[in-house]
Amino acid sequence: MFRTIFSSTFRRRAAAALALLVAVMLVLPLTLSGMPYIQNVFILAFYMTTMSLAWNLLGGMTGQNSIGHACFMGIGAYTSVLCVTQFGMNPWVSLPIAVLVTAVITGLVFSQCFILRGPYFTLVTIAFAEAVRQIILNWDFAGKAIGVGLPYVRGNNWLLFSFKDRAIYYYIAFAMMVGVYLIMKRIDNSRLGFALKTIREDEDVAAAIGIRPLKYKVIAVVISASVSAVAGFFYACYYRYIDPNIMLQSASVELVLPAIIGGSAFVEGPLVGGILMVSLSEYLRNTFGGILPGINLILYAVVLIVVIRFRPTGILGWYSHSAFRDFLEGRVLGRNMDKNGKEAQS
Amino acid sequence: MSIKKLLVVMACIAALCGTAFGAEPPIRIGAMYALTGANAAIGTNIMRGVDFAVKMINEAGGVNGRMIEVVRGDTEGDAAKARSVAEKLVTQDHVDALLGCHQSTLTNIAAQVGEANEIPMITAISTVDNLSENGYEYFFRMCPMNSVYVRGMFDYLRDQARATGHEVKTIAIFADNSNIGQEIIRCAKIFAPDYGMEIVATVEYQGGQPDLSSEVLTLKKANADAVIAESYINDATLLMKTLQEQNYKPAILVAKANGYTDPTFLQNNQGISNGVASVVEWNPDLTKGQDINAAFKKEYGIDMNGHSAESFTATWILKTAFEAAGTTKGSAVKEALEKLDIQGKFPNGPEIILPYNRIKFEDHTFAGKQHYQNNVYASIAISQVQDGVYKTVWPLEYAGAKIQYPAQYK
Repeated sequence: MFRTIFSSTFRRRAAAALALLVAVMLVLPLTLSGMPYIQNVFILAFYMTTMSLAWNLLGGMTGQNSIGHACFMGIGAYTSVLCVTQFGMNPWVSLPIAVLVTAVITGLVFSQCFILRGPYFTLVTIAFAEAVRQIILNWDFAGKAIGVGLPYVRGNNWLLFSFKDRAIYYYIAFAMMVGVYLIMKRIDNSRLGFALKTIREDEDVAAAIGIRPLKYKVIAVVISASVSAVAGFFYACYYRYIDPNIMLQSASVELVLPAIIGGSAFVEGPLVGGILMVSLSEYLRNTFGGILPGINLILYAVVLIVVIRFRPTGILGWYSHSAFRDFLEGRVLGRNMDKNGKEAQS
Repeated sequence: MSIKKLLVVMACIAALCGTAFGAEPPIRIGAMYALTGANAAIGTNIMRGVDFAVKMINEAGGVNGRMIEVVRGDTEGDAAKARSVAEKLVTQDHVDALLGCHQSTLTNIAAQVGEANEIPMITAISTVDNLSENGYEYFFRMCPMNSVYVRGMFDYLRDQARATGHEVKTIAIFADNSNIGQEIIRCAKIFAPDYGMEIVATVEYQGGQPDLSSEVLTLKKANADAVIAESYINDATLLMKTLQEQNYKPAILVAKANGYTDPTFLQNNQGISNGVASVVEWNPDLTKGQDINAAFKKEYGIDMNGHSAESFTATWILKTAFEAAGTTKGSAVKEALEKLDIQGKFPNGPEIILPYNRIKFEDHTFAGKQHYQNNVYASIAISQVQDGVYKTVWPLEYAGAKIQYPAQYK
């Protein structure tokens, strides 16, 4: 493995740059220790990015557009909170249960729904999310519309997953995001990834060459939902109070945006989009929100429209064919590129 | 320049420097409400109450000479954003106290930020009961909680019999499936037996439903002596229209504020809403707070509503606590709030304009649950639409009008 990393100047420099980036991200919370608000923005960005990475497995890699992902996250969050409050479990014990419950429910429901393609599938995800929200809304055990909360804990408590120190949440969220990214990267380069991408390009062709679309789509949705459940667990432990509004349609749409803006054809798309969108939205709200309410949302919308209009393949879609890439990867990182922008074999 | 003149100039400069250096920085209050999104209209009314109180306090010399400054945070009505806003206000803007939020879930999340950073927080608006069950030390609730609203409605149903001679034996509930609606149903079931009343129908509908015909039909069939209602504004308007269509005129319809006291409710339902009664936290015809409302109206062009009157009062509570603490240190202000006992009027300030005369945060139990730091003296008033405007009819000591029975819906 290390031989491939150090096989060329570009790879060596790219690895060094990546290591530097990770090191900066790891040191950052220490320098921000007096600024929990900025840490909070990062935590929110990591969480949103994780959700968007999960969405992208289904939406980007498999081509099945879901607008119900907040619901997978919601099932995870609710399962863990209910395990803690109703059954007195430890939050850590509730995590695998939350993932399992989410995986089983989505596996069962969606194995029946993947007969539907394209927009019809999208409609099913909307209906599924709304159905789950309605169940919670009318279910006494789950706190109905009032919601359920985890008990407040003072100080840092690893056992109860509650920390006064934002930096700990930061590291956990960062690890969660990086972990999910690595899993997605692994899937992207695996048999599973190729099967999913074949299904995205042409389902009939995939079926003709022996890839069973139904099976792979169910695998994709179960992995995607399980990752969302982990993010949901994190959300519940961080915010410590949840109500059925976390599963609203608007929440689902918000999770799709980072992937689309970053470039849903790329595994890194949600990573770029998530960090950018969350920091942009927070920056705008806190700069203008108190002075001229609404202007921040207008500016945010303008940025969205401009990106979608002029860079429909997302930021990475633009980057992969840009002069900036030639400069960054060619000049700075010393990559030998052929005229197609592929790395020349030396 | 003579020496005398020089001395005078120097004395002037010294005096100027003295005031410049001696002037203490303002006390900062963070206000977290939805200023954009679906709840923006509500948030704007709340902010008016805060701004108006701060203006009044500062004009009268502030808190021991220190001015109050309000730092706004827009929650957009979203839970995750509420947390960001609270974090920002506390750790970047270094506010000395927090006011907020409107929706109870957001308040619950923001209160944790205040608790962790030892910044006192008052909610003037959030009514969901479980908010005060957490045992936070730095969180105080001024407004009545939902069960108190419902108890007030039952008191009204009982008391109106003395005025009208028509006793209420049976009740139907019409509420949406929001957290408030569900709490109304829950609390009504707790109170009904105590008041010797029977709930004969419970209609829980989906907020924003396009049609309420079958719901109204259920109410009509139940034919209860009184209907208790809770809706957002669109549903409230639809209910009034549907009642007309089906020619069902419940003799008493009493609502839990919300949509029924929305400024557009009376406009949209002119000629079909007379007789509808609703809880109000405050009303322009209340015998209290008349001069404050007049000044408020001069400033903003509209009357105070329940929310602005509540946020106005909460701001005065903070002012009083800062003054009593003599410092802005969180733990000292918290202790001042714990000890605070305002009876009738604020020290060097206005009377309590809400329909109660005492503000004191106390721990208490309700329905087997321990509650912490609620203003246990908080209560509500009830108004009835008469000649197209809300007139306060209960509690009788603050009432400006007599109860009309049965409701006419004209």
